[in-house]
Amino acid sequence: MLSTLLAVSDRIANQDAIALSPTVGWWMLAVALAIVLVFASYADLWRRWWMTKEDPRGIAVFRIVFGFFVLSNINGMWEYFEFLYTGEGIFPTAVAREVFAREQFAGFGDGVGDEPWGFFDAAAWWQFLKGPKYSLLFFWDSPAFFWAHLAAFEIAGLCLILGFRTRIAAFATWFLMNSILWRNALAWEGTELVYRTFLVYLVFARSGHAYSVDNWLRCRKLRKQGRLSERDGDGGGAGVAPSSAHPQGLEAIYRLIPSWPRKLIMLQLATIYLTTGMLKTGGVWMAGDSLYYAMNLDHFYRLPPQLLASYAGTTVLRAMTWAVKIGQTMFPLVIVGLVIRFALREKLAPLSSGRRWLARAAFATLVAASAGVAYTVWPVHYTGGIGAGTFVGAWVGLWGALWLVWRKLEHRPIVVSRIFGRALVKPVIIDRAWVARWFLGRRVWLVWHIAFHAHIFTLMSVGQFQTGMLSATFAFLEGREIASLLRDVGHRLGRWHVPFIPASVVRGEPVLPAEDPRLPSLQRNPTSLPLWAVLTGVAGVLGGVLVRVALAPKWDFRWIWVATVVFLAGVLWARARANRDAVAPVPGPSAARTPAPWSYGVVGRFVLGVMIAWHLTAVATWLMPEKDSLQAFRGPARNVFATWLTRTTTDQGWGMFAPNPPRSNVFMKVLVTDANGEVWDMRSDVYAEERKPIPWVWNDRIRKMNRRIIGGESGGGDWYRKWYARWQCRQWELDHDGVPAKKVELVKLSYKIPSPEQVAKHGYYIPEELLARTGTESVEYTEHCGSAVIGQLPNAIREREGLPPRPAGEIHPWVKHRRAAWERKHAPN
Amino acid sequence: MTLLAVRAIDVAIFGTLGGLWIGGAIFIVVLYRWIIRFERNNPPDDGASVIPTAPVTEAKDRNRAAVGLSAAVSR
Repeated sequence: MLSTLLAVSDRIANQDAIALSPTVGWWMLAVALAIVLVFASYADLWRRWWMTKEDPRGIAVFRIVFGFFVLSNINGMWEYFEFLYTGEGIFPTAVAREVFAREQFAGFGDGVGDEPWGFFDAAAWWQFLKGPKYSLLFFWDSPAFFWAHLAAFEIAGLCLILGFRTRIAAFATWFLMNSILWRNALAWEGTELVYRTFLVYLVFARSGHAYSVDNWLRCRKLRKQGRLSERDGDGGGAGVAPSSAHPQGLEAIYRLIPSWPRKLIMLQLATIYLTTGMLKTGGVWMAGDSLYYAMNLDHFYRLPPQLLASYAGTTVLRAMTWAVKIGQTMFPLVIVGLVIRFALREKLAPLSSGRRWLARAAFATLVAASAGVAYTVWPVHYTGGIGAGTFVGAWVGLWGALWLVWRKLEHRPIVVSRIFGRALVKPVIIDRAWVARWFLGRRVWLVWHIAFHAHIFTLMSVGQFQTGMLSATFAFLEGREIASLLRDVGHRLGRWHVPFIPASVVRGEPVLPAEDPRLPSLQRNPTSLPLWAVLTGVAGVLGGVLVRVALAPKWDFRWIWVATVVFLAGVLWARARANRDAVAPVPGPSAARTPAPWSYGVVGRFVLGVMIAWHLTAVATWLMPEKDSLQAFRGPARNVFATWLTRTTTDQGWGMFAPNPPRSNVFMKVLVTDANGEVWDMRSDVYAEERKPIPWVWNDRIRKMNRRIIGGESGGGDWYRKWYARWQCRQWELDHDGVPAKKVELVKLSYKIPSPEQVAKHGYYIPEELLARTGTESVEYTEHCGSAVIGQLPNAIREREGLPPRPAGEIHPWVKHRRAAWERKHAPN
Repeated sequence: MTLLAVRAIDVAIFGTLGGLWIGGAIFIVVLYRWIIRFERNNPPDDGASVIPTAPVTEAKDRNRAAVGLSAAVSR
């Protein structure tokens, strides 16, 4: 709600809002501090949530499904592979280096003129290695190399899906996918961000510990050695501790794995929804018309929706629009529900009195500071006619009421024995667990998630965005849940005599257990940082921020953070030494409760804890909306984390159809004037009948590229125009026996989509007819092929195609004189 | 009169959306039945972080139809 309000502001720079931004910054720092203190007071829960092991089968299914769609996403661009990713496409190699990775290649010669090809010196190498765009295709991008690169990617992806050498395969898939994508951003959609972020989390997961060739080979080897715990043997598949019968013990079929990558994937999905939900603040969303306009975009619909939209535009589609907006903003509740259920299941010791009061104070500060943000920005933002004091009162009252309800659910749960006058067979007890299962439960929010994407997938052709997002559903399922689900489905299929169903599944035997958490080989060292050290750490981080803001030192203030981490490491080391012989007792077979073991030892947990805190802060900071009221600190704060996020491919932005969806259909028409002066329409967009197959099954990235080039969506793509026009020049020359065209014109073609009210009143429209009747055309860019830089087919290609070479003077290379600039910059003073 | 001007391809989208809603409703019913059955067989908040799905006992003591669809069928 707060961020929604923040996001509602004018697009024109609001000087009053900018003036308020330092104050907002302090309030937001207080919000961040309060959140950190909440986590600090619940440190045990935080540790257990992030640092414990779990059944590997949940992430394994995610690996298989998501891996398939990683391949599908890249393969979906097959029509444009050479156009996008080779030196013979829109960006010749040297141009790609310059426009996409200029800083990295500042010390790299293109081999044009008197400059050699390659890095000038070791410093130039280092400049490249600093990243973030580590694409092999910036060095070698002939069609042959690209196809070999693609083949390597496909093999890596296949290995990932099959779980063969899974960790290496996951890393190779991630590296090679990004190597392709970094080469050219023209075709990027939100889809690419989804795949980049989820895939990097998958790289860190031990997803090959189940449903994989790796685990099958491992089990086969252990079975031969008599060291595998099997379904009908000792341990029942869950492993056996060393004993006289089994001196080395028996290993489990499904070893436990660290749970944090799966939890990061869940959090990432919630982050996507929360961000995009909060950014959808325009009038079209508020009016409930977004779905109507989105459905009517000619670039997206699978079937013509105009008739349906005319009937449902002002009713059903409005309700669905609001369901999307509310659902996206509220989806993170599923994480709250999962954490609550986790906490209830863990049965952690109650907080000490001190921690309880710290938590209360931190929550109160969080509510007060967030109210402070709202109060501060109230004069410069849309407020819906509500006074600032009224809003703050309602905000504080809301949280107070929630707190009271939460207490009641713990101490005096609501018992429902009758519904609509009818007595229930068994009363329903509405307590915290019930709320976490239902109101905050996966059964509600994941169903909403699936329904949302099922609608988009069915009605609109937008590539692999939906499939990537839907894959993440599996990350929300725990191993035993997915195993039971698969077994039940398999059992049913087996009864229908579907082949290849394992016999134990057909017989309906129980699912195999995961590794027995009581095995003595698992990590149980309880050493952790004491509260005072955690609070000192928080003070150190806060101190760093204050030094940066108040003193703006010439040295990097982050050294204070480094010193803080070193201090914490020292405290932990001392405690670990003191407790080195202390391990938590292994629960016996009859123990009612068996805590999951730690993922790592003390050092590993510390490193992971620091990294997770850093990463979550980085993503949260990165996703602050671009508002004037945040201007004073948003940029500097993002810069702190830019290196981390860009190198880990988790830099992200989720402003899909935000703040408003487009309300016009925009196309790009390419006109080529040939050597004889005749003008040819290249029929490059869906205004051309043959470009608009109905029903539209397979995605076609040309639509995204056209919108980006011609300005069919939120700005930033103008600079592509000249390169696209020059590629058209070269392509024309190649396709017309080496005869160049005179000029290329890029034309923006558009028509307004009638409003829902108009079609409700006057009936549906036919897009082709409306375009012809009301469409507008404007030439946005003209390139003259004879004089354009890199507007001519290189002689090497002409020679390959059996065409006579053109005189050197007719070909205009792009000479950048990088070496001189590099030497000037690096000359000793 | 408007309906008379409807093309077959326009009608297809009604069928698509209708199919999605009917299919979705069936999916939700099946899913919720499965969830309720799963929770009945696997108490969610029993205090174990990693729950061995089957009790670690000798094979002969195990009840094969204790979980899953078989259990539902047997009921």
